[in-house]
Amino acid sequence: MANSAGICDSFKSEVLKGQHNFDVAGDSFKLSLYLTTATISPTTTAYTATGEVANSGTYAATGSAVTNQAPATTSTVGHWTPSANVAWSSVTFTTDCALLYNDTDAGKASVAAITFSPQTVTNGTFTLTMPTNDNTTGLIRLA
Amino acid sequence: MLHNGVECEEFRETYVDEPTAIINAKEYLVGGEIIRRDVEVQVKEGFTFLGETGNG
Repeated sequence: MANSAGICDSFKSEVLKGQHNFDVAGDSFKLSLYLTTATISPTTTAYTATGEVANSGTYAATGSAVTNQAPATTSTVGHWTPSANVAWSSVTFTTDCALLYNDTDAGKASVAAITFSPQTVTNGTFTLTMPTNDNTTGLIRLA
Repeated sequence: MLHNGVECEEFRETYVDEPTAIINAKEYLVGGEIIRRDVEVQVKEGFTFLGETGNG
């Protein structure tokens, strides 16, 4: 099974339990990267080291924190997107998936899996650029 | 020669528009070998969950 994208199923009920706080002073969220052979998907419930890319350059196991910004509502849609892109330099690996998860949460609960075509980075910089934070493209949207 | 501050003989840049992301790759080559490859994944759109309720 390959990596596949989507909001994590477990996250949907965790939101209803108030387990995630995306506000500026809320929880800390991280992005971790995975090999093309990993099996990250909407059924992933928490951060896992299985299938994660190896430490390289500035990438270290568990990935990197994103910068929160206040969730907002535009029209009828609530949305949230990290306020800055995430980049790792001097890295060498091949990846096709990033997992957003709650690093503050004791169980490191997952939020969403982001996928793209397999990308090989060679002694270079890998940048994950966030979409525009609005009601049509924001990273996490409640419609 | 220098490309973006990297000493190399050849520089290639590609953009690939995928359904969920735009991929921008920059390759620096010496002797036909890639000595450095930078990749930017521009996420086009995130995820929506919770649809309209049917209790209306």
